[in-house]
Amino acid sequence: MFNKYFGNYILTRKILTPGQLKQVLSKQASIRVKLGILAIEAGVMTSFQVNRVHKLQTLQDRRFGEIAVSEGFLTEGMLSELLDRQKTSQITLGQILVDEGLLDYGEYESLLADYQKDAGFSDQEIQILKSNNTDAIVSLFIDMEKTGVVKLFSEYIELFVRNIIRFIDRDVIISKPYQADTYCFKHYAGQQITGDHAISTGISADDPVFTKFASIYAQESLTGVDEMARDAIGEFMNSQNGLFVSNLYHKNINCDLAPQQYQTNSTIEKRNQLFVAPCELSFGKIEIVFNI
Amino acid sequence: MANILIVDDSGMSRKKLKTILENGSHTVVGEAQDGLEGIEQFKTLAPDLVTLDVTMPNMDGISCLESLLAIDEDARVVMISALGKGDTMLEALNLGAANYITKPFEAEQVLNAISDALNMD
Repeated sequence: MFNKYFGNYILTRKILTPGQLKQVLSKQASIRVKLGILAIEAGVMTSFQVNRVHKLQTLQDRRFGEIAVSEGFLTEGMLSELLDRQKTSQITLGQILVDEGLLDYGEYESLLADYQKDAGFSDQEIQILKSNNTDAIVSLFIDMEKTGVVKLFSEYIELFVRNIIRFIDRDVIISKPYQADTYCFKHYAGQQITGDHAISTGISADDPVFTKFASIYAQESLTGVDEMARDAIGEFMNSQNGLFVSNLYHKNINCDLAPQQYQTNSTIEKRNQLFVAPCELSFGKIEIVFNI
Repeated sequence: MANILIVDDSGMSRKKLKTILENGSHTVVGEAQDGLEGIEQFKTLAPDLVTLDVTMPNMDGISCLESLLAIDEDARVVMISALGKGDTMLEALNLGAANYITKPFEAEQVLNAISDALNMD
């Protein structure tokens, strides 16, 4: 994930054109080392077991390693070794930039230092960003005092980003969330969480992004924000919130869900705190709304 | 194979379920968008089995389940919902649902649950 943030920075600095970066990232994608591949190469899992875990990942909000251990395919020790190996393979963007002659080693080193400084990350924070740990990275960007409500919002966004990676787009980049008194939108698929917490949640986007997001989730080609598109994003929200409410239930917090609703060209007023988390996907920007 | 009624407010879920069920050689005899419609169609269509969402407008799946079982205590109902928390699942199963699947679902999972429900004594 660090490569995505760093790649975005490279574009901002106009060091590469979007075309050049795309070319680099396509090479990076082709050589990205996945845990499943590492496990096969290490001879600790068969391809059948890897496929089985990938299949289970579409049904469960759990990571590859967690499922592999619970299915008895890996021991905790094996997983730990694989995760260590995977971390060392996260330098590919820089490696390819150098290999392609787009930067020399000195320029790369300097650019990394500039990125850390411009983004305001400490040494520890930059290590978190390089760790490829989605939850820790999301938490890093939620630069707010960690009150109970902010922790809840943080957990919601961590789950949301994991669901986007699972179902929509691996290339998600979260930006720093902000708070607002009102929020205006073009298209909005929302759902109320009721019970011990009363939260209005939703996702907003403009026409093409809303349509593309819906097409990917519905697994069919949609041409505009029609009933199927509205329905597909509503179902994405329903799945996200279903998992969130289940996670809360395990902490003895009892919530339920109201039916999803779609709105267009309107405004949301703050309840007590209204959080907005912008996310950049490979096909455009969405915003996640959490009004509590 | 069975005649099945789908009750779900999501058009996308109904479409996906219908494809899965028909590929599994079942017949989808009706589709309802909420619990109230589901009860009406259950009375007229007398399906072998109902797939029932939980979170729906007008009448939710739990209330609908109670009504269906009041009409026919042997009704076979498989709950299919994004809401996978323990108390809702237990409530549905205690009321008499034959099975409970959480969304997002896969074809094999749906067909197995339906097969199990149809083969229950």
